[in-house]
Amino acid sequence: VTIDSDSPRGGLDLRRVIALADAENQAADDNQLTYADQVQVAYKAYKIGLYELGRDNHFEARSWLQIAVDFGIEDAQPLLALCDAILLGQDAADRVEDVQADEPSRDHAGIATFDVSAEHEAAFGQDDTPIFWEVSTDLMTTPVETTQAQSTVLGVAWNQLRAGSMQSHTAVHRPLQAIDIVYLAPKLAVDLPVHLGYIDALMRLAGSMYRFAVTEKRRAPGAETADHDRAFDAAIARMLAVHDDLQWPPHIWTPRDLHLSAPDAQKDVMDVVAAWMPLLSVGLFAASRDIDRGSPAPETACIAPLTWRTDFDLFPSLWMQKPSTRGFQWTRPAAKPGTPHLLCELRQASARDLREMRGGAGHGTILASPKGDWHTMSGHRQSPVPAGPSTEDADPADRWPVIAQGPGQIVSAQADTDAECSSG
Amino acid sequence: VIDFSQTRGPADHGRAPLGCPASIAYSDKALFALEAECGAELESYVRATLRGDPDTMKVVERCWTDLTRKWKRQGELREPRALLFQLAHQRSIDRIRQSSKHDDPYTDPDRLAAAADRMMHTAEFESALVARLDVRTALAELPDRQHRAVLLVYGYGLEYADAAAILTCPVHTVDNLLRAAKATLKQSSRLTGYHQVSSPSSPPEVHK
Repeated sequence: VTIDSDSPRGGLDLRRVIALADAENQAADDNQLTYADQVQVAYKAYKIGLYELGRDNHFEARSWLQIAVDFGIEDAQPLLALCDAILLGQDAADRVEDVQADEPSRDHAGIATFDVSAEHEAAFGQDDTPIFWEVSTDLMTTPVETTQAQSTVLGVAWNQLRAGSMQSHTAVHRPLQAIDIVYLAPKLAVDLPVHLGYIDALMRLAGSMYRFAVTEKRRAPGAETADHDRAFDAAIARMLAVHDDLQWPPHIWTPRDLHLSAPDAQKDVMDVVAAWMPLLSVGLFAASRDIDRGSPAPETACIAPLTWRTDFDLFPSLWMQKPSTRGFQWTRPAAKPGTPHLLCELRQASARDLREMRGGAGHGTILASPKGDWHTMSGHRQSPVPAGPSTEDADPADRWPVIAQGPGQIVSAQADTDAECSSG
Repeated sequence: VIDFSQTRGPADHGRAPLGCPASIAYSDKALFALEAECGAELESYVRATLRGDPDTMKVVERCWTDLTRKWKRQGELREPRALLFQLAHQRSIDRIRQSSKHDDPYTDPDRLAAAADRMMHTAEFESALVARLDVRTALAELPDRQHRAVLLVYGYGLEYADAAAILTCPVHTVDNLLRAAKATLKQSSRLTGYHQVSSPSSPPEVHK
């Protein structure tokens, strides 16, 4: 038999057969998913993910939803974030249990010690009026005047920080919780990934806020030398050190980066915390900017209470699913009883609503507490300045007027404060 | 010369069980050799199965293409000839179903007649009294596996190895099936009364 010989039987050409086989093998190797295949895969994964999520199989659901996200289903992203948050929460709970078993008495070395003990939870639940409510109420009821309004925003944050600091030793963890209130103007949030200049400005704003915290803490009469206060100072100092050393931005943090960094942020990896800081300050900046521009109030406010626990992880998901249209309002119901709520309210308040708010009428705006409970704003006090435990915090606006004149430009109205601020 | 029926020897111990055919690496030369060895039988089998279907050669070509694809992809095949006949059988059945004939290749009357003819001339049935029609009827009543083996070997004229490939059984199983088929035929009521020679040494049995 020779290769060159022709096939003895009519019709069968082995050379053609070999060529056909080669072509078909090549085609099989090059077989790639068509767009229809991808869509099918994506939605099947999404469907399975939803099914598993509904059955509280969060680990399974996460893998399927990840596939769905990878194949481009945006709707799967918040659910994926939800799974992550739940899984992280479970991990954190397990970790805390382990730590508590190993270290019954922990020192308060600053925010690096992430205390989510039961006592802390109890204290948080008692004295921690939903801080977002305090601030929002304050905003609603404050006359539209740039300096005052903005200083109130910062003042309330500081007030809460200080109040927490005075109240219990668990307050060493409060500095970050104090800025857990985020007034996230959706418009700004939409612009944020594009205009990274904002981030730099916000970073400075956050730094300024902490500098104020430090200076005011030092200046405050009766500043105790209690352990927790020293720990507080140490924590602030560490934060500032990280802030000053950080060459911002080290790289562009996408929402996905931030989301993935949430576990590290929970572990107080300072670089990650520093990366999160501007985002946590977005709301403050947005609110102050809107007021600075003469808006009666933030027309659209996304009030997301963030804590160092589950809700904190939800922030990127809230951010990622930001609506591009204003006035979009949604609340995500629990996937099923027991599933933590996704905490978000996005609300466009009309002028009439604003007037009602200023008039103190309860409007029933639903806000979510860090614990996942639903609160309404009605019934809470409408004081311009939330009363802290100490009467010396009567009106922070009188003491810390801060003007944000533009991105990256923070000016203190008071000379002494300004001097201290610039001195760090 | 490539021996497509060679079995694995002791030197190949460890790669595959003894008795298994040695693997044959793909080469164009090997493919041409295989075609020269069994191409005619394959084509005649497909022609017989498809009964004059105009696309017979397409089916044959498809079988060779499938074999070549698999052979090239795997690099070597242990029994390319057996695979080729299996492919031919399956492709033929596909083609029959595709053409809506719904004819089983094992019920082809021509093949049944051919099998009866050849069976009548075997030593076991060497008797002038045996009528072809009776043998055909008796063949149709054989158990399925025996019927298939008889039809493939005697009806389509395949070698035992090729029939074994189609029946997906060892060669000796085909032999056993044929023996069993002949024994069944001897007991068949269709052939009762005819002289049948079970073995040359034994006297012919007389059936009433």
